[in-house]
Amino acid sequence: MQIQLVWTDITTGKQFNPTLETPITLGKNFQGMPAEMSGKRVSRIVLSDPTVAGYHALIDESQGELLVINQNPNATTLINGVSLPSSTIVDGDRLQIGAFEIQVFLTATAPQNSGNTTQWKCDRNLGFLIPKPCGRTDPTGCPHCHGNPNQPDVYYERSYYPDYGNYNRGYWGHNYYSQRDYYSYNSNTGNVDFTEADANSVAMENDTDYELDMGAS
Amino acid sequence: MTINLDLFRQHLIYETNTSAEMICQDIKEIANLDRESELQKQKYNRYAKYFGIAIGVCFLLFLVSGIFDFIPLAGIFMIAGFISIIGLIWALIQASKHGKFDLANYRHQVASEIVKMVSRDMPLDATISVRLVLSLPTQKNKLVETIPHPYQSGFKIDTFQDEWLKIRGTFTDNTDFYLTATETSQTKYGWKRSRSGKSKYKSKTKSKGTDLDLTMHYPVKKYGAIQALRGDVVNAFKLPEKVVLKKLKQGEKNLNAIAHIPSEIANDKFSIYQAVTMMFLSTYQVLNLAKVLSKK
Repeated sequence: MQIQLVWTDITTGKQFNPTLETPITLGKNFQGMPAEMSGKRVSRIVLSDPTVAGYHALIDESQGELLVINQNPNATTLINGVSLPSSTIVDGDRLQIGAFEIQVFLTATAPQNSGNTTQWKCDRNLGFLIPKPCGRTDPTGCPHCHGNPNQPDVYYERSYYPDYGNYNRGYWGHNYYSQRDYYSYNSNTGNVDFTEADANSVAMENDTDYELDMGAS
Repeated sequence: MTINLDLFRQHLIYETNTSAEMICQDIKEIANLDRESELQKQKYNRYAKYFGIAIGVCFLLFLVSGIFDFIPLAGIFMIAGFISIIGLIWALIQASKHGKFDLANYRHQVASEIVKMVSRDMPLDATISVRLVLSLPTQKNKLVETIPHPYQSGFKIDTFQDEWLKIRGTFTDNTDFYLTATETSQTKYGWKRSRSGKSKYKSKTKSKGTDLDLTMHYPVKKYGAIQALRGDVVNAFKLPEKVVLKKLKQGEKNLNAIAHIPSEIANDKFSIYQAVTMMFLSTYQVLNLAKVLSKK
């Protein structure tokens, strides 16, 4: 079953709305979530937040119904504001996992961008070094999608560099990434501007931190 | 297949500029040649061992026959001994002939894996330029320096540099990459005088490790904001435990990194492949962020 999940990244403020094939796992640790279930390739979603468990929840289809199952007894999954170990979910339901609020849409009723019927497109990132969206409209025969569940992880080498592509808090590049909107690159002069107003705002943030630190000399 | 195996046998150098698929096919041919040579070498070495045993047995029987005055038998063993000596020489010549093509497996295996890895991010019709050298690392033409031994008088040290791999290509984002692997070896040699006064020639070769040199020329329009990351790029570089980052230089349009693989793992295909892959991943961890910052 294909569903669309919609949430906003709490760190960057960026909205995500991938359309995915079940089973779908949600958690903090990509490696900690299973890659395959009953011969089906799993769509793994990483939610970077300390309150999210390594492998937090599973969304799967059972007898035509969509189920969400909490995978960690120490973690809480709220379904429409109610904490349940497992529950069926329907179109439009809201899941609260850690600090993330995720809305579930069945693809037939998913929000349309253009007002016309949107054709399903695979949103997996392909490319080993340079991520690019797959964009296939049919997963049949695709070595990266669900066409061949026995296909090994073609990009297994990413495990050599587990932080690859991650610029979240605590990872290399976070300072730049979190302020990416303030950077302005002029290809004519080759200069990178970090605007004055934004530099001031960063300075002010630092000042506030200092004021709050009563132990500071 | 673009490889001419007869030509390859002469210099043990594979050089081409073609698609990744063709390169992998060619390297597979080289691997087949290598495997076949290995088997043949083993076979003739085994024959040489048998002929050696036969020589020993014939010699013993010849002596025994002589002691007991069985002259005709002694003659037969002498002839059999001569035939075994000829057989031994033939087997050793054959083993040495095939040994020339018993190549360093890790080199062609790593080259093939790297080509497959980089081709994932290249256009389908892209070509890759490869030069793979499979000759001995201590060939005369690879000698770069000879110096006297610092404390053993009469001894010298030859330093060899074997640039055994060069791979060049262009990724889908128009970034050119150029990767080289250079193995350094040193041979210490000279005449040593023993206590009894005899002089003996001694020679010992040691690997000093392999340097991986990766240069990326990126399009400034796409990645120009990399200038803002200057000074922090080194922190994005992650390499396997024993591999050391020797040099990292960031220019306006390019990034150059040199990593050193120590001698104990310099001939291990997994270690080399992992180091190369991590160099590419580290570089793109920087470039992908630079791309985000370069967007207006």
